[in-house]
Amino acid sequence: MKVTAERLPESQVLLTIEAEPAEWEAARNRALKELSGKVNIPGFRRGKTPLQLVERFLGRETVLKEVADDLVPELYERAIQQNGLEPVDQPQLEVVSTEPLTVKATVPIKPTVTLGDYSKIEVEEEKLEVPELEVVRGVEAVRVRQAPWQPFGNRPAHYGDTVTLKIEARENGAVLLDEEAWEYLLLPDNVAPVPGFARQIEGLLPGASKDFSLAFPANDPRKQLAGKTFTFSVTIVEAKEKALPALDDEFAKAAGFDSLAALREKVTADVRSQVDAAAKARFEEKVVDALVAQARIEYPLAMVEREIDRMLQDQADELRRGRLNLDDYLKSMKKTVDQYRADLRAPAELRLKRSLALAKVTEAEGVKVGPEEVDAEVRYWSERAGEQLAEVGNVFDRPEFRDTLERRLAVRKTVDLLVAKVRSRRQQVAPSGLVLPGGVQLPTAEKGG
Amino acid sequence: MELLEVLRRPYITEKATSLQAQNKYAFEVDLKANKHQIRQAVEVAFKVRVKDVHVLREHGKMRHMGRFRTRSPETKKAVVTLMAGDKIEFFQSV
Repeated sequence: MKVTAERLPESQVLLTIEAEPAEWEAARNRALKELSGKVNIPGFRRGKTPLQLVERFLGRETVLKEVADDLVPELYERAIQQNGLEPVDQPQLEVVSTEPLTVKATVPIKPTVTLGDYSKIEVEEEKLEVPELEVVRGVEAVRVRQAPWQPFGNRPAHYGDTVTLKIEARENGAVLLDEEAWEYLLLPDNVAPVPGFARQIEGLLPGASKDFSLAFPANDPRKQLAGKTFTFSVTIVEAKEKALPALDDEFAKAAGFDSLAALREKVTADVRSQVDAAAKARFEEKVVDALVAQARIEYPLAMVEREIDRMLQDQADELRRGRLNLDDYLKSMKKTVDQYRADLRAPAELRLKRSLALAKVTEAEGVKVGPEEVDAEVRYWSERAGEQLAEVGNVFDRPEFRDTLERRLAVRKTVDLLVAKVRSRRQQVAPSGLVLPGGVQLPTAEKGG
Repeated sequence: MELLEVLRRPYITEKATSLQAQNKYAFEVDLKANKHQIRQAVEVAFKVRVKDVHVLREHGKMRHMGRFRTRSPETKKAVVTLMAGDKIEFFQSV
């Protein structure tokens, strides 16, 4: 076997492999023997035909193909070992000539990451304000939750009210509903009992009656109802609205706080932690992106395809949890799988670059994750799962899950480390104009924390 | 009978192949050919010396085609033994 290896861009290696005549001859004999056992040749029992006759009977092409099928993977395997390559995916094999057997293999190999001087990364950290609107909304939500239902009689019912209905719904003697006091929460997107029902009720005065017909859509999953038109006869027996309590200490105490100010403080703190988490995530993302920007990363296309596969798989899982499937979802967006894959390409490359760059930092900084840290994580997940765990056994303690956790922890620690570095430098460096990698000048930053 | 009409085709089967080890070659021959003609035909066609000729008749088998019963043709086989040292190249490639 003669091999030449040539480095190609995009983290690929082109191997040109040529089989020695002896190897080829041996493989040919193997192939003929193999074939003679498989093919019926008149006048001979299987496997008893002289080898030359097999070749003459089947034709040269068939035999050469069989030889190549047998020999190519073996040659490839040996060529990989000889050159010490670490392929990350299936190679593209091309048989250039059959006699002598010459194969060109394009092998996607492990990506190479060259980090620049990432200790010089400068990223501005934004300080996000707590939006007043969010606080007001939060307090309002508590207020609505606290409000009791109170009957009213002097205005038309509108969305958000609860109505008690005397209701009858029939279709040719079939009864859908026949209730004296049926509680109904009037919301515009309520599709029960029939889509469009809420619209009929909205605007009625308490005590008023209304007769109308509504049809179930033809594609309703309940077969016996689909497409049927029911005649409704409805009377509003009672209508109730949320009686919002006054915005004072009294209301705050009812909700379990010392005063209105304490409630506001609690809501503000909640929003604050959300905002901070978002800001932290944004900052981390920027740091990682800066890391990616100053690194030279070369990776094979095949890895991008794998990443796209993973993303598709994740989305399919996500959709299945909502009882949908990916095909329907794509149809609703009027896209084919291939188009969608093309859409995912850019994000997939970004994800790949990030994880490659981070992995390199993990290695360079010697970030280690000890088994006790993984143990702690396993305990955390086990506790969250609670009782179900007893039934299925502790899935979180399995080696593959532990591996996943370990990888995740390593990434987490690496990001934390990077962020800490960037932060500590920001405190040392006088707040002058920031220079991002690539020489972009940002306006003078405030001193961040 | 013309000499060229005597030999119809070689038998290329597992058994015929194994006979080659004994310097014997099998042919399907014309039904009316006799041992002398076969000897002469093989000697002329392959430029070899023939030591012995054995012949046998293969009876036609009954065949059914729907309602009709027919008989496949009867054939004559010949196994020709060559003088030691001679061989038929045609079969060698087989």
